[in-house]
Amino acid sequence: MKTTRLIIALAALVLTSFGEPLDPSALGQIAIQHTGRIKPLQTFAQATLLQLNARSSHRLVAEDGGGDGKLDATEWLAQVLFEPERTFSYKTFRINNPLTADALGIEREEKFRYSFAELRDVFETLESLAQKASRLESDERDPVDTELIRVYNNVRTYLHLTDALSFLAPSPRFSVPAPEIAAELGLAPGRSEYSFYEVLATGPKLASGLRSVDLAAPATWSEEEASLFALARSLHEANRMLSTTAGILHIIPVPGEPWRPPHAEFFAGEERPVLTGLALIREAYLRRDQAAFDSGVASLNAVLSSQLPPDDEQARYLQSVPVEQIYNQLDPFYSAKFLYLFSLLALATGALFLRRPCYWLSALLLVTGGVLQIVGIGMRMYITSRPPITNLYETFIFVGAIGFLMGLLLELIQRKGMGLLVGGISALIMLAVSGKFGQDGDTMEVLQAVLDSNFWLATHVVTINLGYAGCCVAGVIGHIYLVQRLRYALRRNASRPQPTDDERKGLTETYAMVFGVLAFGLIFTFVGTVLGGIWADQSWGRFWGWDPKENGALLIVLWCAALIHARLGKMIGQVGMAAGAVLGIVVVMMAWFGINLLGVGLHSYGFTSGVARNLVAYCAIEALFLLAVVPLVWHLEWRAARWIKSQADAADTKRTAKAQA
Amino acid sequence: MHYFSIWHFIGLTFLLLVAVGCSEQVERRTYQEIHVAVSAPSVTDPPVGQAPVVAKSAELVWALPPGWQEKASAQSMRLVTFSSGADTDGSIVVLPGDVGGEFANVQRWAGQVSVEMSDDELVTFIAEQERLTSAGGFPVLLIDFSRAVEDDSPSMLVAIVELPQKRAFVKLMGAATVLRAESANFRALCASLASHMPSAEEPAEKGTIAWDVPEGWSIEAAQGMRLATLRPAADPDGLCTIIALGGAGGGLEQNVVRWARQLKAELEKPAEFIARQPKLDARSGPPVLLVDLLELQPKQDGPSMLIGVWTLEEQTIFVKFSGSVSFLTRNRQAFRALCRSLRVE
Amino acid sequence: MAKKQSIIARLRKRWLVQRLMDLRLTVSGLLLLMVLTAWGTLFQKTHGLWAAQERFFYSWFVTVDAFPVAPGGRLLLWIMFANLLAATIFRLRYKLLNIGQILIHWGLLVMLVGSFVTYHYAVESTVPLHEGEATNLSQDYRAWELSVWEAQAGNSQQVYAFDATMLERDIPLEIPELGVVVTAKAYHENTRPAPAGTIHAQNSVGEQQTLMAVEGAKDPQRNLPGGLFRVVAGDQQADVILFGADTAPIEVTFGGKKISFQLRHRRYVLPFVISLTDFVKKEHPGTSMPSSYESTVELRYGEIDRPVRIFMNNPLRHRNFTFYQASFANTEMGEQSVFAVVENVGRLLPYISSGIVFAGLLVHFLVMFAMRRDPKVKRKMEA
Repeated sequence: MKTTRLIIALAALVLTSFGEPLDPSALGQIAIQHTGRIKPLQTFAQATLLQLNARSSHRLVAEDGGGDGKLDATEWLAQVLFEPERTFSYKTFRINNPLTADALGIEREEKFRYSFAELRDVFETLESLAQKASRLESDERDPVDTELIRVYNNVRTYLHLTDALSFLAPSPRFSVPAPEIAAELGLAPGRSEYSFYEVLATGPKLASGLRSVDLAAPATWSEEEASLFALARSLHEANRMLSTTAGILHIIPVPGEPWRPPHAEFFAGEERPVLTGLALIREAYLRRDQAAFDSGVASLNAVLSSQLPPDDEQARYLQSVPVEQIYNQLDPFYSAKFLYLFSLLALATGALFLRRPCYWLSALLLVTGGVLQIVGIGMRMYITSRPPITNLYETFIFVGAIGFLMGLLLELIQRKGMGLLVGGISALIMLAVSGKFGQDGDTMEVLQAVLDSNFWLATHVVTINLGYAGCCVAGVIGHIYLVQRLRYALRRNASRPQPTDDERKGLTETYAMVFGVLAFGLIFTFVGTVLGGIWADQSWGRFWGWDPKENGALLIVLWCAALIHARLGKMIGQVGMAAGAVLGIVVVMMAWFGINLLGVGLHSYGFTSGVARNLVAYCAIEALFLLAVVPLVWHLEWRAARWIKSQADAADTKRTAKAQA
Repeated sequence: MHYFSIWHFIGLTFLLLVAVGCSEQVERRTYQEIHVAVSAPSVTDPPVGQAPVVAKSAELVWALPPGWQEKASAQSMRLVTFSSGADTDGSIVVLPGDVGGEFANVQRWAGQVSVEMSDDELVTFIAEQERLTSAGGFPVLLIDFSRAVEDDSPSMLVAIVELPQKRAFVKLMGAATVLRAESANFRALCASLASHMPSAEEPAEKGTIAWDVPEGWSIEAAQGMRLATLRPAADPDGLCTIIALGGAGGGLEQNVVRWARQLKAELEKPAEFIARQPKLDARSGPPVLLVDLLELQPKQDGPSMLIGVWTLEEQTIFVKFSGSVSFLTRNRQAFRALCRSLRVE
Repeated sequence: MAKKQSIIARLRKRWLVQRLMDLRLTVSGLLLLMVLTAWGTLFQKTHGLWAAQERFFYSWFVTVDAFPVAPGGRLLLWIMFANLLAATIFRLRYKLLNIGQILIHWGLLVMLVGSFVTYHYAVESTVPLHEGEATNLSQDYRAWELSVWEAQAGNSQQVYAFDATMLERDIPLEIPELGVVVTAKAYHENTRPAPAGTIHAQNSVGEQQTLMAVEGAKDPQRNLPGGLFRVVAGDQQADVILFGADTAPIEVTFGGKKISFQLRHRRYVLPFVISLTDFVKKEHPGTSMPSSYESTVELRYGEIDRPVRIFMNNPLRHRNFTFYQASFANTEMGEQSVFAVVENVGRLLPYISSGIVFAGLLVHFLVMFAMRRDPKVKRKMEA
């Protein structure tokens, strides 16, 4: 019995290891030129999958609808490139609107994801509906039309990917029924179907076989000549089809020019190192031979990088490709978000019990998160060779990092935990918002000509984002001030209507921080705006043009200046200042990306749906907060003032009575 | 200060402004205008010593939809003028190079038909337009402005056709309602565009211009009509560009006069000057005319040019070598070798 | 009590000065400017930048159905300038400690002065050039003129020009030097060619062209004016149609003299000749987005003739002129490099004012930082 069980166990082990999936992550290190930038295939895979699937990893669904494992982006890409048929049944395409499914005539999916097989059945419908929708005016389209266009483009991208290496796959078009012909051409024995690449590689042999053929008299051909001619014609047709599509895998570097896809090598000469390399990798993948796969990728990579002379400016980007892979793996901002969350939770726990340990834990988590975020920014700067902020997504990351630093600084000054709170909240909220703007796939983009100036990106953009950070942090502290003030106001009662010295001191400190940070925000926003004006003057000849983004920055400057001057003229008190700082966040959000919703002007470089809705919701929440807290504080303090007055009156009457007595 | 308050001042200023504003005078400006125009490529003046250039319509063939008429035939870059009937004007124009790309041209046309779009809207608009491949395998982008305007304002249907190294614009202008009715016909016309090749059997490989880069020279990539930019590596004082222009590239005599003017020299008798210039045998095709402008520049370190003009059947290649006289003299051998290595592959 | 108070102290007591330097005026001004900016930005989405500028920022009042409902940018900025001036002169204490604040406020004043100078005196125009083309004129973006000259050989001619605003009135425009009188029989500021339109005539040169008046474009840069002009020279006369989109002038021959007429953007004379020798455009690989473009031009003035490279963020500065690489275009004659030209006497003022304000901010910050150690100041700050 025991031996039988052992044998069965061994057999099971052996059998399962045969079916072990190959880990294609090595594939991710090949560099591809896409959307104007050189990036690793890993990023390309993630961005493409995000575009099709709205997730950067692919969940597999089993027959019964339950989960069946997960493919990461590179694994999915490898399957699409090397064994596309396997992916036809995967629920790859996200369709958000069930009406779109109805329009196409397919069954609605609960989880909103559809497979290529389903869409292939209705492809003609999809294509014609999408083309008709695209001929409509953009404001004549309803959400279904927009989604049809999006889904159609996604399906086409998917098809391009499946075709990208199709020339390596055996096809019935290149069939050679007679083994002697195959042997003469030098093709691998034992098969009747060959791939385009294999037939192409027979090159001169095929040509010489056809030399004596009289093209005008097909009747005189032998069977051999007929099958050679059929092969040549299939080759010709396939080549024409392949060369009319631009190809999507631009992996062959060309100095000073756009990179080429593999099929550029078809007629480039006898040696076809890239194609040979790809064929090897494919075979290794299909055989599940991990070692051969990895070494094949490594040698292909060597071949590809050797195409660039070492002093070529693009070679520098090749060097940053492995850094980008590490960055992808690390996903610093994702981890930082959780660290901030736990830091805030620790702080909250510390308010209840275990004060000191929780404080230090919170500080540690916050600092780790912040360092991770800053490292992430640094890596992005290295990869793109640009200052830290080049698009809207990066502004949030940067401001979050500044929020962390300011919180840290405040904590070092005060050491009461408020700095940790402020830093954690600011950084967390900024990262959360940034997520909404990173949905387009690749967040590292190239810049259009007029924005392409590292100097101004480093000065104007950084300064103004520092200003945004300052005003936002001031607003966060403003919230804390108002809550503090409300707490103390709630504590007043008839027997002790005055605030205690500690309470007064606490409020003064918090208020000083609001004021100080707001002044910092004002200064940097102002300087940033002026630098923007100088950039505009250098670039297109006018310092100020009432452009929406310029106006947005101006609004922030005006608001902060109005608050400070109002305080100077004693028109508002500390509560008014704090409330003003809170409203300042609203003004900043409007200037930051509310402007982009208008879609006007040179600064309309970021747009995501749903943002408008969230912005309005946020403004409503702030309005409610202020409307609730401020009148309450005023009322409670007015009541306390009356108590103080009646106490003073009572003391007065007592004194006069005593004097009279 | 006592008798003259600020109100007096304001009142006087106001009256003055009113007086100035109400005067009706005709203002006329006079100025001296200095303008050196660029010579547009034209076929109407044949270059010296060459047979008149073949009409362009031999390059493209198309099928006019039923009911459409041809109104005029080839004239410089315009291959044909036609009409679809009621009050429409159509044309097919062929231009060398990529003519600025889709965006710039669509933007220009949008302005001509009063369709106002921001840059983003324009990009979306272009992305939504139909693309097809014509009978001759040329990619075509069909732009329909007639649906972007209200009913009867003047509008246009236009198509950008990608020919090898050239672009063709097919345009139909008229009232929007008329154009909407004709859009299917217009599409059919564009879909019928094919090239008129003498040997229709095998796919004719369009010949590419090739040359041997002289030793030690660096080469920069092609851009539109410019096939290459070459520089002697050890000698940065000058530059050599190889440009391909359709047809005669503007007329040889006109070009030579223009080049001389760029060197601040006036050629008394350009025809004689050209006749004096040597010819070099290229590796394939006709000989290259070497226009030597060095004699027009008296100073050794003053700028001058050597230009190789290679007139092919459908295009003219200019190998323009510019720099100081001493630079050109030093590198003249290499330049001559470059011109001799020109060939069509 | 000193008998002789300083002028400033005496003026400070005046009612007008007291009102002008009031902080409440500052705060309300700032808030009003916020409202104006926000409203103007929203308006811009539907009506375009030009209309928003005219209605909100360059006007004295913002009107709704001809009723003024709010002060416009000009009025508001004048009021704020007066407020700032009064505050700077009368409210600020001129002590060494306050030097930062003083610099900041004076810098802001210079900035406002600069904006005044720019608004009233700066001229923005454009110069589009093909490779090999040269010119000494720049063109306005919006204003048009009727240009008349005698067609001569050579590169230089004397041009007589009338602003397009004259063309809307039925006045005879005389050019005694050429012996020609032009009257606009019909003229519209925005026209398009049409099969049958309101402006129709046979040009003396034999081409037939008809134009139709259309509504003015939202962006005045898109306007293409056109008109029917009667040209009288002695006892000869001719009817000519001129259209803004025509690139070539119409030539009319009067007894041996060839006179050219053209409706074109208003020209400004530059004190130099600029010619384009080379234009290079690079795109991001695999995309059609331009990554950079640059022009090499030759600048000729007096006896000087020198080449200059103009590209993004790197303009050509010559006297009061600044030449920017704005964009490029493609026409039937080839690739065209488009430059934006700004002539602005006050172009240095924003830089000067920014410098002053930045210096003030720095000084103020340093003073505040140093003073924080002083307990007297600390208490004052906590109040």
